[in-house]
Formats: sequence, C-alpha cells, structure tokens
Amino acid sequence: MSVFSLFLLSALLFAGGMAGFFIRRDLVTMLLSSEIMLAGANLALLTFATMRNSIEADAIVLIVLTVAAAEVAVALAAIAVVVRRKEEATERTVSEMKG
Amino acid sequence: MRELFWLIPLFPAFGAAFLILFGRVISRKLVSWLAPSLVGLSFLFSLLSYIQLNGVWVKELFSWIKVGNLSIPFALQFDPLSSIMAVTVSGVSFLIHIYSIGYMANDWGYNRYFAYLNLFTFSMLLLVLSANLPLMFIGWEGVGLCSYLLIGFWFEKDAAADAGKKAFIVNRIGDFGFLLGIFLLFTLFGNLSFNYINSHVSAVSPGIATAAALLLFVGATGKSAQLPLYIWLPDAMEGPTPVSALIHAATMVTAGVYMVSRLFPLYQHSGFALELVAWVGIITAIFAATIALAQNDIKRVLAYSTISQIGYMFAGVGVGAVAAGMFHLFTHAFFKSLLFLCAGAVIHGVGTNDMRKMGGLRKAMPVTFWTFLIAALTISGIPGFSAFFSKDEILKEAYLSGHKWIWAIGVITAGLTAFYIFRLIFMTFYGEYRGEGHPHEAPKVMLIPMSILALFSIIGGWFPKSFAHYLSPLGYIKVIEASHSLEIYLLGASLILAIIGIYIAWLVYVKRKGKGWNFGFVYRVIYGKYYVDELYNFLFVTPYRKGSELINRYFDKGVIDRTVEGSGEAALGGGNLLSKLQTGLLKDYGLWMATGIIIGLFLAIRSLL
Amino acid sequence: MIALVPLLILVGFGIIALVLDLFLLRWWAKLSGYAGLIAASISLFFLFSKRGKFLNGLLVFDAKGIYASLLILVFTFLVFLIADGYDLKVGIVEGELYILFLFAAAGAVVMVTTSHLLVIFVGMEVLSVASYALAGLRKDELSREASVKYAILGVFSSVFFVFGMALYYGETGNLFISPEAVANPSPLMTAAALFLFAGLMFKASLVPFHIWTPDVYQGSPSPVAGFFSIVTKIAAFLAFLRISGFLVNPAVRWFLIGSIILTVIYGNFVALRQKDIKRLMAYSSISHAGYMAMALLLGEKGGWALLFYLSVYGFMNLGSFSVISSLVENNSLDDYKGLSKAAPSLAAGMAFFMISLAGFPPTGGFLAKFFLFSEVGAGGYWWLVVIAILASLLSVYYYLRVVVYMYMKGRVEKPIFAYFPSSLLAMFASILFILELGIFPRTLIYFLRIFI
Repeated sequence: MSVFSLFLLSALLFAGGMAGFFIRRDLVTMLLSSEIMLAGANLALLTFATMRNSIEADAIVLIVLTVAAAEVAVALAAIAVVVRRKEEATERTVSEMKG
Repeated sequence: MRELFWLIPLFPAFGAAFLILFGRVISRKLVSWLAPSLVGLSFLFSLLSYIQLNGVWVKELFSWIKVGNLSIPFALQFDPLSSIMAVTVSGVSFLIHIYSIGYMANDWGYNRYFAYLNLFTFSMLLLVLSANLPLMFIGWEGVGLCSYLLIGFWFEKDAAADAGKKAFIVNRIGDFGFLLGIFLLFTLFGNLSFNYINSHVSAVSPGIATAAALLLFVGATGKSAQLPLYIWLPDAMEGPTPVSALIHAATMVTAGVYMVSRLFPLYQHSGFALELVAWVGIITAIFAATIALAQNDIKRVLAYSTISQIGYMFAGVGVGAVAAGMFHLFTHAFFKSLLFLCAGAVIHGVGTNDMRKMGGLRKAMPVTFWTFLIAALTISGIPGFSAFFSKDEILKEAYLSGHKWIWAIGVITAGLTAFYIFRLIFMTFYGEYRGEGHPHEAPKVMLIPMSILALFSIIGGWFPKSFAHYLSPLGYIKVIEASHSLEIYLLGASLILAIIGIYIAWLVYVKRKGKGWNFGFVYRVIYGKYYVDELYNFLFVTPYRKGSELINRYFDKGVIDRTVEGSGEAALGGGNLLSKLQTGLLKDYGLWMATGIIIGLFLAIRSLL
Repeated sequence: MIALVPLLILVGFGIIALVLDLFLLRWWAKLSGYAGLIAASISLFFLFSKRGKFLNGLLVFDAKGIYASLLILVFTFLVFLIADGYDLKVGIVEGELYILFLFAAAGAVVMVTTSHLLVIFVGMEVLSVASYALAGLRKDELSREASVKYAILGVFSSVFFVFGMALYYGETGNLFISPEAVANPSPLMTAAALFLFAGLMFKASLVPFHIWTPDVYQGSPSPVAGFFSIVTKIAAFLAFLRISGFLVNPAVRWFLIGSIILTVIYGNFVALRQKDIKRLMAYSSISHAGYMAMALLLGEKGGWALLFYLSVYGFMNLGSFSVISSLVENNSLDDYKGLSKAAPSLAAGMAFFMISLAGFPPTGGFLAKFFLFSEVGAGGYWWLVVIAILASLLSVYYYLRVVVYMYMKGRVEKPIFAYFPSSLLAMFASILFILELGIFPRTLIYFLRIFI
C-alpha cells in the first residue's frame, strides 16, 4: 500500500469514528468511536514513520496507546458507575445539567 | 505643608479601614467622634496647604506601576485647581458628616453608613489630588462604588436597590468611554500624568485629540449626569439625604467638570470637543430646568436643579472660561448642599418628600426656612449672594467669547431656575400645612452645619481677586476684562429674568393658593391684576407644565429609560438564547467541537486558495 | 536529571499518601500531600538558578515554566486548604481527593515545563485522568454526570491532539516544537496546528471547545471545580504559549481570534442568566479564558501579562471557591440571600472577590486586566480590546448580582454554611494576595519582565 492510501485510510478512520460519535446514543459506543478516531491518528503516525524510515514514531505510538488506555479505563469506570445506578447509559441518562 | 499635603486623603482612608474592620464592635459615640474629626483633619490640612500654596506641588509616594516605558507613580498633585477641589470636598464633607450624626441617629446601619461616607471622602480626595489619569480612575471608580453603596443604603426599599443598580449601569457606560480614553492617551503620549499631557498636546493632531477628549467626556457625562446619561441622578435620590447633598450635589457629580478643566489644553487643542462640551452643558441646563418645574418631590426638584447647574459649569468650561466654571462649581457646592440639607431637615420634620403634603412650615421651622431662603436667593442669582458672581461670570464669558446663543439660553435658564426654586419655597413654607402630624424643627447638630453653609453661600463669592487670577499659575487660564457698561448690561438681563421667575412663582403658588395669608402691600398691588395670573396660567404655565410633563414622561421615561432597561433586557435575552446551545447532551457537545475544527480547516483551505 | 526532582517529589509523596490511605491513615495521607507540595515548591526555588534544558530537551526548565509550576503548586495548596473539612461534610471520607490532586498537579507541572508535544500530551493525560476521577468523587447524581461528561469529551478532545501530533510529525519528523517548524505555513502544518489548538482549547475552555465547562463545574465538588478553573488553565495556557509560534499563519491566527471573540461574548452573555453559583463561575471562567487568550496573539511578548493575569485570577477564583465550598453544595443564588447577616466574613470575602473579578481598582483584578488589555492593544489589536472591554462590562452585572443577593436580599430561614478553619485561611490569604498584587505589583512585574 502506498503512503498516500495509508494516510487516506487513517483520515477515513478518524472521520468515521467522529461520525459514530454523533450517530450512536450509547455512551460505551461513543467511547469506542473515539477509540476508532484514536486508531486513525495512530495509523497516521505510523504511516509518517514508514515514510521517514524512523523507529521513533513506533515508540511514540506505544506511549500514546498506553496513556490513552488509562484514560479510557477511567472513562469506562465512570460510565460503569452510571450504569450501576440507572441500569442504562445513553446520553439522555447524563443530561441533567444544561443551560 | 508642601511635604505633608499627601496626608489629606489618608485620614478618611484610615477612618474607612478602621470602621470597616471594627465597625461591629465600637460604639456609636466613638464613631460619631472619629469619622467627622478625621475628615475635619483633612479639611484643616487642605486649608493650610491652600494658604501656603505657591506654584504646583507634586509628591510621589511610591512607584505604583513600572512596566517597560509605562511608568505610573502613585503621585499626588496640589496646585490651584486641585486645591479648590480639595478644600471644597473636605469642607463640605466635614459639615455633612456632622449633619449626618443627627440625621442618621436612629438608623441601624449607623456605623456602616459612616464607613461608606469616609470611604467616599477618601476616593473623592484621591480623584481630585491625583497627578495622573490611572490614579484618577481609581478615585473615579471608588466614588462610583461608594455612591452605589450609599444609594442602595436602604436596600429594604426596592426603589433604592433599583436606583443603585441604575446608577451603576449608566456609570459603567461612562466608565467604558473613560477607560478607552485613557488607553488612547497612553498610546498617543506614552505618559499619563496631567502635566505631561497638557504640555505636549501640540504633538498630536487635533483629530486624534478630539477622539481622546470625547471618549473622556463620555465618562464625564456619566459621572456628572449630563445628557444623555443624566437619568440615574434623579433616581439616586432614594439614598439618605446627606448623601444626596454630598455625593449627588456638591462633590462627585462635579468630577466631570473637574476632569475637563484638568485636561483643558487637550480640549482646547481639539476645538470641536470643547465646543461640544459647551453645547451639551447648556442644553442639559435648560432641559433639566424645565423638568424641575413640574416635579412634586422636593428632592427631585433639587436633583434636576443639580443637573441643570452642572450644565452651567460645563458650558462655562466649554466656552473657554475654566475659571468661571470652577468658580460656579465652588459656590454650587455650598448652596446646593445647603438646599439638600434644608430639604433633609424638612423631610426629617414632616416625614415625606411630597411637597403637596407640606406648606406653611415657615413658622414651625424658622431656621430651616431662613437658610433655605438664603440658598434659594443664591441659586436665583440675586446680587450679593455667591452664585450671582459665579453665574454672571459664566454668562459674561459666554457672551464675550461669541457664544451668544449659549448666553441667551443661559439667561432663560436663570429665569426658570428662579421660578422652580421659589415654587419649592412657596409650596413648602407658605400657605397652610397640608400634611399630617406636627412638623418640628431639626436638632441643633443639623442646624449648625446648615447655618455655616448658609454663611458660605452668601460670602462664597466675595473674592477680592478673581478666580482666573488664582488659577493663572496653571498656564492655560486666560483673564478677560470686560468693559464696565457691558457687564452691567449683561448682568441686568439675567437679574430681570430671575426676578420675573420669582414673581411668577409667587403669583402662581402664593397668591392663587394663599388663602388667609397676607403679603402686605405687594399683595394688594398685585390683586387688581388677577387676570394676568389667569392668562399666564392659561397661556404659559399650563402648557409649559404639560410640556415638561410630556418631556418627562415620553423622553425621560420613554426614550432614555427604555434604552437603558431595553439594553439590559436585550442582554438577558441574548444570554437566554445563547444558553439554549448548552443542551446537556453529549452528542451536541461533540458536534460543537467538531464544528469548531471544521471551521478552522475551512479557514485554512481558504487561505491556501 | 535534576529537573525531575519536583516531579519525583510530587509523585513520591503521592505514592506515600496512597499507601497510607490504603491503611486508612487518612489524616497522614493528607499530611503527606501537604508535605509533597511544600517540598516540591522549595525544590523549585533551588532549581531556579539551574535553568536550562534537560533529558535531551524533553524537559525545559525556563523561568516561565518554573514560575508556572510554582503557581500550580501554590494554587493546589490553596485547593487543599479549601477541601479540608469540606470533604468530610459531603461524605468523601477517603484520602483519595488529596492523592488525585497531587497527581493532577504533577501532570500540570509536566505540561508547563516542556516543549515536546508528546510530553505535553502525557502531562495532559495525567492531569485529565486524575480530573475525571476528581469530578466524580461526590456520591450523587450530578457528580457522576460531571465525571462521565468530562471523561467522554476529554477522550474525544485528546484524540484531536494526537491527530495534530501525527500531522506535525509527518511534516517535521519529530515532535520538538521549533520556531522554524511552526512558522512553516504548509497545508499539513496548518492542519496540525488546528488539531493541536483544538486539544488545548478544550482544556482552556475556549468556544466552541468550552462546552464541557459549565456542566463539569456544576457537578464537581466545589474545591475540585476551583482546581479545574485555575490549575488546568495554567497548564493549558502555558502549553499554548509554547506553540504560539503557529500564530504567524493567518488561518490559525484568525481561528484563534474568532474563538476569542465568541468566547468573551458567549461567556459573559450566558453568565447573565445563571442561577447556580458554580455555573456562573464556569461561564465567568470561560470569559476570563477569552481575555487571557488575547495575550497569546502577542506570542512570547505577551507571556508576562498572561502570567500576571493567571496569578491574580487564581487567587480571585480560588477565593470565591473557598466561600462556595463553605456553603457545602448549596449552590443556588437564593442560598446566598441574607448571607451578609448570617456569616459576615464569608459574605464580605465573596463580595471582595466578585469586585476583583469584575475588575475594579485597586484590586489585582483591575491591574491584571489593565496590563493585559494595554499590552494587547499596544500589539495592534485595538479593536479586539474594545470588544473585550464591552463584553466585560456585562460581567459587572452578574458579579454584583451575587453581592446584591448576599447584602440586599433578606429571607426568613438562615443560609446553610459551615466555617471551615482552613478554608477561611485560604480566603484571607487570597484577599491579601489580591490586594498585594493590586497595590504593590512592582516586584512581581519586575520579576516577570526580567525573566520572561
């Protein structure tokens, strides 16, 4: 695959994830959509790394993935608390505050 | 005194700090001694400095801000201009502190009241003694804040709280202009001290000077209650009467006049700005005077009168007669605070503001009556009383500088002034008592300050040398000499109108309603001309009163109030509308962020094409 | 390695506290938190003479970074004081509050002392992860909602930042921020700048990335909201300052300017109608973020005005939050009615902070605005300053509304509040510092001008 088509794929993943965020109502799926966006971003990093023949980007991606995993874990925990109380977790469940 | 004059504002500052910190634990008696005596010390120091003053004293206390090429010292300046203000402010404030001991004696917020009053005096003295604009702005904001606190002092009354809010909103508009003016002057001159700006004005083009001068003047119209920002002042009368006397008559509201005088070379350099100041002033003067004709609330009459008199001062400064404007400011401080204190004594005595429920108080309150009469004669411009000299000076200078229209309007306003003030006197002190209960004279602690002010209202204008001579060290005050005959001719015109005004007031309010009251031979002389009275009433008074009621209702209440309230409502409505965007739904939130980034990318693509 | 000392101290004491908390030694855990903050601050003083780059340039200990770190530690200390007492009242019995604060502060310190994008990202994530947990610490519905909203939107925004990093890497081949690289207006670089900006604007609460702010502030425990309002902002703005070189690109500059205009207008307008004090403070913090972002337009030149503003703003905002915390989650403006009679010192303090936030002299709030606006104006953005001043006129209304509620509205029942000694201490300290910065700002300005 050419560098360009890889980059295109990463952009598509990013855009697709974003679309998923808007389409789905379910909190966990929204979070997953964000993860797809993240995969797109990481793919872009790796693409550029291949283009430049550099190993640095691989390390960067590893760090990003680790940190992001921690972030998602906390996000999931927060959602889990809501699910335990309300037995469901859509965006309507958490729309008490507004205005 | 040259080394010590900087203490003048610090006495009340100390008082305010002390009262705010310990106001809850100290006794009223201590407060009654402490607060006035600290202001008294300020007055003493001002007076001593005034006597010893030669040239211009500047004292730099410490370097407040020093950033790159911007250097703003915490510097005070005592020169002929600020000395007049310092003496007036501290003197009147001292007397009003004493008066307040009596007036506020039964108020639960006694200590808080004196804390605010001291704080106000400090801010005002800082305003007048500051040597540069940012420092003046601190005082400017400080007096605004105190005025807001004191108007809303009786916040249990909704009207008082609303009035405080109104004063605040309107003043913010003015302050906005003032602040922009300061920023503009800083970019023009790189230095914000008055002396520097005044001596370097010729370095900038008149157009830019006009812009800066007008921005500052917006601030002045707000603080000094001139068209179109005057509307807060009548409502401000909801505050305690001594506050009206001190802040809304004698000192704070004249800050705008002082500021324009302080930066007079800037206005002169602009030319247009100065002309505008004169016209705004004189139009406000006649406009407010017409409204004062139809008011029944004793304090509102005085409020409109204040607006009108400050208009005179602006007109004076605007026609180039800084000395005359400051002179009128000086005399006005005495007679207008006296008018308010007398009104306060009347309200204290009868328990209402409504003049229709007063009448015949001459016998019950003799001292108040006589001092009130002195103040009324003064404001009417009767020869011998102080305002006669100062008002005459303004009108003369207007005439001599070629502003014949301003002179004409000024003379007519003088007539109206005499009419409304004597209408007030006749409705309050003559005829029969129309209210309830038994009116009583005010206590001594109130009468003494009133008597002192009455004395100053008379002698305040008896200066051996003119104000212009005294102010001449500033370098931009010119001394005009008029021919003697012209002076008498000009003088005669305003005097005749004033007397006509008093006469008509007498006709309308004493003769027509004065049943059972005998005015001696004048009464009999007038008696035969009853139809003149009626005719006048039909042709002039009624339409006039209707007219001014209409102005009051449709312009004042309708246009300007609506604009202020309307803009407030519009802002709240805008807030309501915008807050709908915060739906509380995560999807929408994500959408906002995505929209943001898409707009950014769109901008980027556009810049590439 | 020496540059790691403050971080190691913070994290080390954090871990000690974690262990102590495990054995239910709550009080000791808290003490360990205080000790960590103090020790780290002291180490910063010693580091000041050893300014420079460390770890191959991954950590940049310049004056700006050190000063910002110090601000973060001082404000975290104030938040500790505010939280002390409040936590038990709302049922946060474990010491985790303090531990999370400590880790969040460590993340913020990382963010301000680096000019490497990945390190900024890691710092940001440490700060974020701790923040999501902090937002949800109170055990009620609003707090849980705040936590979920913050977490999901936080993940969403950090992905933007990662994507920006990827694009940046594609153009330059590394993640160091260099003046030459950021000044390059190529399409890839512009896109990178926009995505990086989006990530930071989220943290700084600039429109349209501000959207989480009101909900999260309202739902979080009060001291936590105070922490978000200042520490997160310091970190975000300092990182912003490091990448402000992007702004020579007109597309990026107009993106930020447009955002600033929307921010100051939106924040001030919507604040007008708020009935909940914490929401009001949230919108107020959005508009303040708008003012501060104006300094970014000047690049490094505006750094000192920005840092001065942040210093004053931190004391004003944390001061108000110390009072808000003392009312223990009675956050409606109606709950403030009659506070002046029931708790005069709290009411007076709150009034002072509101007046300072509104920008009245002689408080520090006035000078902060004065410096920032005159510097931005002198930098050629006069019209922007005019818009900001006009918008800030509105703010006077809603700040003074709080004062009016406390002083000019009475009510029958007594307001609910508690005097927490340490919270009062924080309040008085804030008042002192605001006055100090308002009346004698010379020392700080001198320092900022010389070193920054």
